[in-house]
Amino acid sequence: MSPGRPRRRARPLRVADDRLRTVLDGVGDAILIRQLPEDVITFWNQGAAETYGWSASEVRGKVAHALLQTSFPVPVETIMCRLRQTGHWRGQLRQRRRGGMEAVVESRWTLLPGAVPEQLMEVDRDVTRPAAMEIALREVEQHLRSVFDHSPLGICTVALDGRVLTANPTLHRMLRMEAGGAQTHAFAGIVHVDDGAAVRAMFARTATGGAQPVAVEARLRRADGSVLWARLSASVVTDPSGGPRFHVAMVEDIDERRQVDAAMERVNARLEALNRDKGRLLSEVSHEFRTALTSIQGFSELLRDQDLGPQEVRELARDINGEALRLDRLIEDLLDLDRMESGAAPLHRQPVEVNPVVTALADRMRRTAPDHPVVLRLAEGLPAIQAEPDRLTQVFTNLLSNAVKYSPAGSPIEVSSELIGDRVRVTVRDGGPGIPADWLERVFDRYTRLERDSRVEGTGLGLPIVRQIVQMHGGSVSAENAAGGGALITVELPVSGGPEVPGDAGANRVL
Amino acid sequence: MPVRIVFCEDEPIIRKLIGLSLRGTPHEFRMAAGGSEALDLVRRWRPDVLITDVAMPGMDGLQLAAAVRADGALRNLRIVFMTASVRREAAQAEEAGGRAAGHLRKPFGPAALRALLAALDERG
Repeated sequence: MSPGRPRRRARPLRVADDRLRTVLDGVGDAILIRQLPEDVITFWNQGAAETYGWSASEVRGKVAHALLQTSFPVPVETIMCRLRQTGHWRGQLRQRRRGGMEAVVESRWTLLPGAVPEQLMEVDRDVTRPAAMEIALREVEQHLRSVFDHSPLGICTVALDGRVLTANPTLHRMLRMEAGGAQTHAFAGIVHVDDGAAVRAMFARTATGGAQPVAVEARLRRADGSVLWARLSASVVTDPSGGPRFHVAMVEDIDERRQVDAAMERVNARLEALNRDKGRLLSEVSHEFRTALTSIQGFSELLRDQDLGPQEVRELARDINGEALRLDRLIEDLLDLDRMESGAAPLHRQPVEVNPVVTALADRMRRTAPDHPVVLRLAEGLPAIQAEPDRLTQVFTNLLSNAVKYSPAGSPIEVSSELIGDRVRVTVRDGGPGIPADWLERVFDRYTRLERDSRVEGTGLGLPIVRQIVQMHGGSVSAENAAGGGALITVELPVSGGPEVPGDAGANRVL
Repeated sequence: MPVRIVFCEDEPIIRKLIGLSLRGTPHEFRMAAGGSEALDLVRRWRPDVLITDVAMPGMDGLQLAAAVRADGALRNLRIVFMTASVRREAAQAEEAGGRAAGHLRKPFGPAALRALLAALDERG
């Protein structure tokens, strides 16, 4: 296509020859000749007319770069410099077609040898469409890359043999790995050992189960050894024949959700327990009230409707009175227990000697329940303990009256005291039938009276109150059956008093 | 017609009330303090009616009723529940299941108890 022979005398190329023109027009590429230095178009073939939209007659004599609004990939001086050194230049240009549409062309420039003034021939191959596609592809790729890089989810691709092929920055951050660190692992290497089987099963199902993603919640191991709860979902990428090529796994950090879930479960369990307790309390209290009210209503109806002797009137009045007092004690005990459990009744401690408290109560018991002999076995020289005297009295009153209730008349009640290390131990043993084995653990619980022997008078809160007071003093209480028969309750109280603890505060609290 | 009744009630004071309420009536009655004691008693003494508390330690009223129902020899024994507190619902369910001949809600007085027995007597 070279329009002239080397060393030929310089003169403008005259393309007047019809045959040559026909040849050049038959070439699909655009061919134009620009005369320097004005860059005036002197030749314009049919290919140029088709590429740029103007006919030869329209463009002849026009300034080429002005007409085509050429934008060069490098400064035009650089192109001219190369052209003058080597006679050739090739590169990609962006020029305007008639109407303003852009044309991207692969352009080859040749300086026509010997031409004066200088002329260069430009052969342009239109590559506009492929370039646009390339840009579009590049844009899609950049788009996908930015999704990959900025996704709030960890994303990785995993080879069928389990190696991590690529992993995004989010996954690296989740796993506290340096960039690219995940690629050195088998995926199984970042899964907590206890969840390995579940994750393997997930990938296996993915590989055989088609495009449907499979999800599993599993623990991952971070680079620093800590553990992260994650929701993994995997799918498989297939080749055109449908065979699996690799896995794509999404990793969502659900540590926080897991923690919130666990906290919610704890709160729920707590609320359910409280609700159950409330229900039991309501059931217990209403049972006690209905029983007392039945006596009160029934006996007062008898008094009203029947002619009874003065002796009988007095007896029924005593029963009615007794039931009313029992309800009052029940309410008092419930409120007292609640005050202690909620911390509203703090202890006022002072040094108290246990033996005199027990002795005084035994003396009173002998007067009020003469049928029940009380035997004291008290160790001498016990140190005083740090306690609230009234609460201590309440503990032993409850234990002694309990013993009286469960002991048949005549059988002795034994109370002993001794020093065990830095604790004073007091035991109360009754002469009753003992406590069924499955009840030993529960006699100090509230709400158990319904299922206990209600032939015994009382509110059923005596032992729960004992435990509450003893625990507030830093001590302990337990129940067992004595070797020689009867129930044995053991109370241990630290001499120093120990830290004040609210016992089961909260655990049973409902009021 | 006197009615023969076994009462099953764990609270001594309620048993006392029942005893005083039926004083001077023609009805014959005996007391049991718990479910198993009542079951023994109805098998031995064969009353017309069993009136039982529901919430009791050991064998409770519903278990007692089930044991009675399971015993073919006691198929003519009518059962009345005495209920206090929320377990009333359980007794009502039992009643709906059949066999319960009546229902005595605590608190009750002598008049209510006598009225119940009169009604049972009429139905005989």
